[in-house]
Amino acid sequence: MRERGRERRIAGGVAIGGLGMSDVYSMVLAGGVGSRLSILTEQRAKPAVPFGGKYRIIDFVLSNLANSGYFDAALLTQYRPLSLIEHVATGRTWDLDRSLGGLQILQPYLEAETGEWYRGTADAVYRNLLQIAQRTSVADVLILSGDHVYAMDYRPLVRFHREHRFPATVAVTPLEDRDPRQFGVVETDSNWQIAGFEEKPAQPRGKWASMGIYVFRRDILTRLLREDAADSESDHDFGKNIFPRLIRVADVGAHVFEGYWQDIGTVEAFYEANMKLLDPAHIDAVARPSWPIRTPSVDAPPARVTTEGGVVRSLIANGAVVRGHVEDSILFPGVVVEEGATVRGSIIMNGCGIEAGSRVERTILDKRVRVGRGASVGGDGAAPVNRRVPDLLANGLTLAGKSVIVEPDARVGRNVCLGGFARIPSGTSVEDGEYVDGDLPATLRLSAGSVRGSP
Amino acid sequence: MKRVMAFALAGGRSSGLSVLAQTRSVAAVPFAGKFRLIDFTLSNCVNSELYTVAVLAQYAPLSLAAYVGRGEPWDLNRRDGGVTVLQPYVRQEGARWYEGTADALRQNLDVLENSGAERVFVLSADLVYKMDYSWVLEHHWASRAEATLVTGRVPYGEVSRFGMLDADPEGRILGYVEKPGSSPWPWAFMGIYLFETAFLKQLLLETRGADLIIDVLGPRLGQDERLRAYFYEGYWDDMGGIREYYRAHQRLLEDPPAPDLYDPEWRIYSRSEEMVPALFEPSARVERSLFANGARVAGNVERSIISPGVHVDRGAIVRDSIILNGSRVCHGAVVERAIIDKDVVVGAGARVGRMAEASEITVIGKGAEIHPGAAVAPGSVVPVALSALLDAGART
Repeated sequence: MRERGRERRIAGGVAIGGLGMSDVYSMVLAGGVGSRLSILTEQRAKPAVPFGGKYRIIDFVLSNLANSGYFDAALLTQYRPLSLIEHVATGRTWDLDRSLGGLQILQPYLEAETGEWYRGTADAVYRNLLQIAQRTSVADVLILSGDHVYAMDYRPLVRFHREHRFPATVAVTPLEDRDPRQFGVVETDSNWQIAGFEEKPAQPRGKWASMGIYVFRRDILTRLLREDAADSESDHDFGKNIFPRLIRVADVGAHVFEGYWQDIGTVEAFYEANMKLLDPAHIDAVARPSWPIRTPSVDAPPARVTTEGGVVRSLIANGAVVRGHVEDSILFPGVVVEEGATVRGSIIMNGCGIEAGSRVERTILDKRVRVGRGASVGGDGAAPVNRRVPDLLANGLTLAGKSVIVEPDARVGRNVCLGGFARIPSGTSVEDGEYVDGDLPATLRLSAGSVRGSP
Repeated sequence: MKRVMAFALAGGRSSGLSVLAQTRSVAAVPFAGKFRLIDFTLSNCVNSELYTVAVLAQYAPLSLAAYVGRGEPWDLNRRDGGVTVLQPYVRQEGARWYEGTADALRQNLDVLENSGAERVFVLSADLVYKMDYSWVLEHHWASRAEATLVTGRVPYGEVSRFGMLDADPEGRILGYVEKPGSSPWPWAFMGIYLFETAFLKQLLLETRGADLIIDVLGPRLGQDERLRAYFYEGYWDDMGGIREYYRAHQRLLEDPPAPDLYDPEWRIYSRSEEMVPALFEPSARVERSLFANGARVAGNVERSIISPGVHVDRGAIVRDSIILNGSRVCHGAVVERAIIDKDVVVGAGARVGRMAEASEITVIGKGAEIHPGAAVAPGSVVPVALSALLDAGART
């Protein structure tokens, strides 16, 4: 019934297409929970996590689209989309607010009386197949991820895909020293056709990692998604289900992308990808003037540094004020580092206040955290792993969620996680590896059950 | 503000700002690392809820028009009102440049007429200040004035740059002297007016002179009870010349700075380029300075303003200077007490200006190239590069 309804609407002439529309339609997957980013994704989707002193992770893919001239795109959201939707808004920042095509935000919706959340990345696209079907001018669909940091021109990928007449092509990057157990690893033949695929192998045969970036001929994508939707065994995931199925049924190309590419999957990856920006050659490669990464910038005056020798090897955004010492760190707009305070090896997000004489080391502070006078957060060197999230906080990094308050003279150790709005009382200590639960104010909490899908 | 509009006078060609105003109108001169002078006026309008603004541009109007655009950075892209840049245009009776403030308004009386505004602010767009115009409006209303002139304090040593006003505590204007040698009154006219629309129209049509304060209002000042003064007590500075421009930047480096650009209650908006945050390399040594996004610092920077895209290479020294967008100070170069306009290259080992307190400020025009090892004497002005002049119409 539902399917027929769809077809009729398309036949009825609501098809979009023709002049000015791109023949490539892009779908950006931005709905995942991102639980491996811990409390950074407590209140926001992973693509909305702040990055690099002024950006959010989603800026990279949206800027790549705009810079590639692919303006016809959809953003598929599901998990805590508010920050993401506010950030992306109409897409104007990236010139994606077009009168023809442009950026759409696709949220899960109710179909007639019933509705379901997206069951996986493939399901998210499947349930929006109508968007693809009605774009009659679209030849290929680009599937992208909202949580990658990279500067990539998608046009060579699409050109390669078309020249070789592959039904589908996947972008790959040299595996090199990446951990193969985190990637789909592919082998290629001499024609850049995929000859073998292993999912997260310990001993890989291939030397290319799949980037989770695909370009599909429209008909093949439609067919695969319909088959996958009917498969009750499937998790409806692109990497896990669609890609292996694709390789079984069709010739798939592999297009090599040589530039920097990082999937921000874990706290550690997030930290390293940020710190890498302190290398001038790297930041020039990721955000070069000819390939700008755009973001709806906070309009703030230039950063103000008052102390002598106060800032070394750091990235400091407009609107930050440094009266103390900052080293190997990234400061977002509105951060204030007071006199005698030291920030080292840390990522300090918007509006944090580091008060006089305090010390912050190897720590990620989410927005609006206060570190009181004389307090100390994080530290260098090894420490016992976090007792609740041992796999996420094991290398000594400390993490504080939004609006945490570390009162004067309190001490917070390494591998510590402080949940959003937590308050560490003056003079107390949080030992290495502790997890302090957040304390979201009642006014910001949803009452139980209020998210049920009633219209 | 309902039924109120503003004309922002973007100025003609100011000689005071030397080569800084050669490729752009004064209102478009960069300020504080990421702003332009007109940002203060437009931001004050928006923060005062005054949403209909016409910018009157004469000199190099293209750059200003491109910068203001549809007014999005200031939230002035509106269905009703918003911002427009009005350039001189050809009429049936022929084309004329704006000959002065009054003339510019006279040529655009139709804009005022069509706006339906009952009151109109006339603002000078080359001031650095934060002012809530609604206070002026309130005072104007309460004193039943036909015209209110906004005055601000200036030090006695500087009265010769201003028109000085005498007024009683209620704001009745008792006298006015243009650029006097000395003045018993500390109140300078700031170039900010609020008029009843009908009164302004009548004045403009009855008089012939080109200048609003001298020719049109001058004869009435001290004679007409309907002209009132408003006393503004906050920080303001006019960018009358290189010395004032330089001094205003030095005040930004004081703690606390004046004006406070970091005040969330009265933000100054601007249209900025998309650039990565300022990057400080391991060899950077910085002290008491402002750094805009896009700055790249590997050398020494002290008491200076570093604008977007400026590179200070390793081994370079910048002291007490203002470096505008996209310029580069190469290895071993020393820049002291200088203002360096956009896209300048100070070659390796070159020397620009000198620290001595007494030495004059050195100014390097847009796009100029200082050759490696060259020395630019303190107080000299290096002209704008020809290439920068050629595209001055397109961008600044």
